[in-house]
Amino acid sequence: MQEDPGLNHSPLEELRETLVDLERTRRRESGLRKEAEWLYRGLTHLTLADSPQAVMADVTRLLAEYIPHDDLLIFTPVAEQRLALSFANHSANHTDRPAVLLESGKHLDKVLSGKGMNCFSLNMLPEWQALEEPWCQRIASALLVALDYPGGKALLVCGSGQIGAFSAEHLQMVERFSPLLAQALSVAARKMELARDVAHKTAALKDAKEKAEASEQAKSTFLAVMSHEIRTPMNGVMGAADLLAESTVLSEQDRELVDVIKTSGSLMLNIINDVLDFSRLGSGRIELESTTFTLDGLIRDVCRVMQPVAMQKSLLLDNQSGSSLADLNLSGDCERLKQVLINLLGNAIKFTREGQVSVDARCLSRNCRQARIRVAVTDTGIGIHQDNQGRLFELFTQADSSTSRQYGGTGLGLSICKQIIELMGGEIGVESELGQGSTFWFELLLPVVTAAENKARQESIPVDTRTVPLRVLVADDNVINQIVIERMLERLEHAVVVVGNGAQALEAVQQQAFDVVFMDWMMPEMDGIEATGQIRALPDPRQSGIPIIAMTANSMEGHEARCLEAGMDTFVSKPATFAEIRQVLYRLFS
Amino acid sequence: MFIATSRARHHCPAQAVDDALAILQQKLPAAPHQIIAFFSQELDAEALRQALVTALPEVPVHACSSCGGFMTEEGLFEPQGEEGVLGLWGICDAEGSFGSAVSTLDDPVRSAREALTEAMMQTDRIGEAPAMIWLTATPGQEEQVIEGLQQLVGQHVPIQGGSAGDNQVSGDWSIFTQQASTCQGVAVSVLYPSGLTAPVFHNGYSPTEHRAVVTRAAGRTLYELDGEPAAEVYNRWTGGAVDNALEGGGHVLGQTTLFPLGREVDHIDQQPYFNLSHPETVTDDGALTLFSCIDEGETLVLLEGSISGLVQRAGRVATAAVAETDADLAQLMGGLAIYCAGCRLTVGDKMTDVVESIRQATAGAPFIGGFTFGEQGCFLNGDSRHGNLMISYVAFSERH
Repeated sequence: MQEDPGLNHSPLEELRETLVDLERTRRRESGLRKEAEWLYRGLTHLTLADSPQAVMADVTRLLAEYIPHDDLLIFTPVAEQRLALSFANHSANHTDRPAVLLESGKHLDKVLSGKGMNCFSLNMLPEWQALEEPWCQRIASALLVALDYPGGKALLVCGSGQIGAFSAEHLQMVERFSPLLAQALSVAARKMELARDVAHKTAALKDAKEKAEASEQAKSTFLAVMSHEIRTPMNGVMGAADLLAESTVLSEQDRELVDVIKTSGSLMLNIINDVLDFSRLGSGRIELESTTFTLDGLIRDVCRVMQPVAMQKSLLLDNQSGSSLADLNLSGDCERLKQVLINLLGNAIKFTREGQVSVDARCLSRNCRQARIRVAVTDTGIGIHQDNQGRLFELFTQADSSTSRQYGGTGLGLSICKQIIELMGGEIGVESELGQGSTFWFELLLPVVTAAENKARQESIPVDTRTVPLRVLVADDNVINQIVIERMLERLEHAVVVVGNGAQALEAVQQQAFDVVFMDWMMPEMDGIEATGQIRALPDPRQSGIPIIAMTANSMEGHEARCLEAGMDTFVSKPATFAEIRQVLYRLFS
Repeated sequence: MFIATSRARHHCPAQAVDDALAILQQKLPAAPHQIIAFFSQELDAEALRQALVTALPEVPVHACSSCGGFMTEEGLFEPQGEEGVLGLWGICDAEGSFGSAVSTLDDPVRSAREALTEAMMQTDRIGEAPAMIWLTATPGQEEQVIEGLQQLVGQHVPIQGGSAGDNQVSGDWSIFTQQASTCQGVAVSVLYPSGLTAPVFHNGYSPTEHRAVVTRAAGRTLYELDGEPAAEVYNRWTGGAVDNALEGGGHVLGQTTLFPLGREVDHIDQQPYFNLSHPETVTDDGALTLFSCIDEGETLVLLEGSISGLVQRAGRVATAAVAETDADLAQLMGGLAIYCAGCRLTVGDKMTDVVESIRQATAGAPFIGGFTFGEQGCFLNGDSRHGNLMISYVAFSERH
């Protein structure tokens, strides 16, 4: 040891002091650097968070890295000097729970004015003591910092279950972090508000949609029932008229009366079909079919149908279509196009007292794949005022209310035409002058079928639809329908057995050999669906494999699928015509 | 925030208070919100207290006796004959909050809690952690005092201060606050200034190759090191620093200041960092009494220092404290210093250099420094501990 230890300053001593100072500086700088990184990471995380919960989860995780804590709460302003617990750790306080309220007083007011507080014993604050369980007991010490929040100042509580868990440096960190947190929360709150609005509106929309769907369903059911109720007797009327017309003993006068019955029946069926079409189009349940046809043929067919109607009013129905259309094979839903054209021609004839109705179809352009066609129906009728032309294609709309009184009609026809043409990707319109007549037109772009394709298709089309005599079982509960179908089948030289319900049909196929069954759907005791299922389940393959044709007035969308699902082979809609009966048998037995 | 100091020398405590207060009030723009004082044992603590309370009945006062006077930015101020010295440090800070209390209970842990609670009750910051706790206890049980304080506010509030001293280590120390004075108790002040505070201390002694395990100890008495009488071992290590006391015992404070015993509490760059114990006496049975408690099983290392190190350390510690506030020197408003009484006795007439080193480091900012028998400070790792031979400074700066 030194003799005189005090006087010479030891370099080692100075070195140690310098080391301590250096370490102090190093720790401070390291703390600041960490804090800067921390804030930067916070910025990244928080700006990406899309909900207040996500913000809180990020904040909790970030804070936990440098400030060990147990709870992170945010109280947001709800009234003067009153805050409500909005976030507890990761989760938002849901609105269906009663709010946890914190009344601000002298101490918290100071915090809310911007002076962060490192509270070593939170329970010493009178405001906190008034807070309800479990929060008033759970947090022993806390950092309290004000946050800018929409509607005032919010209070951030970073709490610990231990007394005096936080240092002045912790408070500084949270204070420096708080503007970032406030910004993130504010953005997230706006997002949440937006999300709440969206959820509210979505719920309202969903509700409205469900109501609309329910209404649509009710409408469909009503239409199905009505359609069934009307079609069933109509089946009888039309079938009976068909049979009468075939009779050789009728006088000319009787024959005229039978024609009236058939025409009226057809009109009624048209109305029913209009209503059904409208229903299907409205709910997007119409599916277009694709067949090959020529526009020339289509126009000629329609004109042939409409010619007698025009003649009745002494009108000239003139087909002005160019002959070049005869070679143009198109692919599309021929029947729906006929429906549109019949509708347009029907209207033209209906609203024309004298003069003529003409059809002009032409090909506007074509290439090897597709052709643009235009069909126009022009009349010399009453015409339509310019103001009313725009509404013509709307539902239940005629040019004016007097029209329906004078000319009749449902007002659905043009709306259906418009929807069909638009479904085909085309356009429909009208040009008209009051008192001078109207031109209704539509334009379509349709695929062109080449000659080779057409030949292949034509070869597959049957010509002679006669079949060998068959043993036919008919199951139908309606006596008139029983008679009609029986007569039709007999006229086609088939042997017929008629039963009144599904149970009898099931029994009949087990007792007697049949080639085919015509099965009604709705029957007492056992309906056609159930009977078909049971027939298909019979052990004898000759019985269980028998072809079954559904024959029902339930002609709504989905009924055919339901019949096929039940095991039936095909489907005929009532009232079925002679031709349809013959066609369906030919398809099964040719 | 405004800080000023004043001092007075007089045989009459009341007169000393009048003189010192008159100067302080001249320097301060308004009545102080807190007074911290050091005085020499010639002035009666109770008389000083009464005079101060009479003059400033609403102001928290926290005073502690100091060994052989005290220092301020104006220099070292020592008693002369029967005339004792009183130094006042006053802070004006309307936005801050302050409270002081003393407790005279026998149980140091409970005393500390009660004094702290009472001090906080005087502030409007109930429940809020203070920026720091200024502690002056009478020597003997400071470890338990710190434990009591931390039971109440946790580990994170910096505790800094020093234990009351007298001129001869004869037990003539005392402390007082505005409520009471005592020669055995705890005085605490809670400081919530509006500005920044940074308490820093240094004990830059170097380790020697001498080390031993405490094989027998009780409280502050170290009986044996590695199974041998502690005084003998210490005397051997220091080359005879306590030769004169080995036979029959005696005070050795002045001879041991440059050779404290250290316990490792941290590491800096793989260098051990020590909390110091200062040998005070050699007992007649060959034990050493210290100014801090020691436990059996601890390893003690002999450290060594130098007078010039003790002189320069004061300025270094003030510089470090100012840096710690992250504020410029221009924003430094003042400070509170503690200089180990043992160091002060060892440094002797170089104490003027000590004051000068602080003045230079703080650009002449007002400060008061007491000479204490044990010091309390906040270590680098954040722990507040009681130790010996510490030199500390608390910087008070305006916020940026």
